[in-house]
Amino acid sequence: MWMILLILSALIIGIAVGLLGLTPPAAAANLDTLIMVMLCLLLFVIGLDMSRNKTVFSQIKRLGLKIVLLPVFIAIGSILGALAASFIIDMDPRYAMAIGAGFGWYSLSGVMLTGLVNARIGTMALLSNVFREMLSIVIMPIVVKYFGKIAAVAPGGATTMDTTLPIVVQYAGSEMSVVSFVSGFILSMMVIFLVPFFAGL
Amino acid sequence: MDGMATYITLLLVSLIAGVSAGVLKGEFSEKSKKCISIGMAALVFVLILLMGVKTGSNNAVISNLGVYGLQSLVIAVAAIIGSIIFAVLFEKLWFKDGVK
Repeated sequence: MWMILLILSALIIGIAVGLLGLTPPAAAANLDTLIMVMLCLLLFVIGLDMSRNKTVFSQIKRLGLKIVLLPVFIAIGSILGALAASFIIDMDPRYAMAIGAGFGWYSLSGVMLTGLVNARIGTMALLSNVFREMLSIVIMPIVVKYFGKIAAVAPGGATTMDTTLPIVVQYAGSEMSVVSFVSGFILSMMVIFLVPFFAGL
Repeated sequence: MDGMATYITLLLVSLIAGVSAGVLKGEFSEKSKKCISIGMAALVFVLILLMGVKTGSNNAVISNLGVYGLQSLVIAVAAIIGSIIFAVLFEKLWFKDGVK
């Protein structure tokens, strides 16, 4: 319980600090570097934890090559979800699917769709995929509790390779770290092809 | 793409360094296990804080929230729900006894 409060307060404080422009200039200029350093430190600690987690290898062995199919399923689910959303919000289904195929990688999908379609769709891709990353952090405990450890990798999409990897591990355990990384990596590669594919339909 | 390769390499090297350090150290005492979990929680806090700062100070995100916020949120929520349904389907297809 305290963990989700910690995560929520970090998110709210962070957004407030950013919104109000209270970020120290030195930190603001190096945000991406700082995030990268934190990620490397976290992956080191996750590695330490993995080394004494005996289920890591049995989990990978169990999944075997099917580990590659999980991100494909996550991709199909995300794109079909976005397709369904296009009817609710009355939007061109091709563009909604292209936005959904961003899988949370907001910087790339935003830039790509601004170039490929227009600024409106690019901005929506940016926002929608920021929401996806933030929401997947917030809902992680609920997803693990009700849908299990495999499903924990789904909401984060491409981001389970980096930014949401520690959250997956925090709730699903360090035995999910490799699955999370591999799924996020494959989904990231798919973003590069699928976003232009759906935008060009 | 060069930047991406470097990025992924750095992440993997950190993870492998962690596993190697853990293997070399051998058995962990209760105290060091506790240190690891506290350290991880602290790092997660700082990471999420920084991600929040990055989002909150992203003008392209903040200034467009009013116009495209709701529609974008609907797509995000639907994509998340779809992805969870398909991940559960994946598990049901091949791991009927669940993943422990």
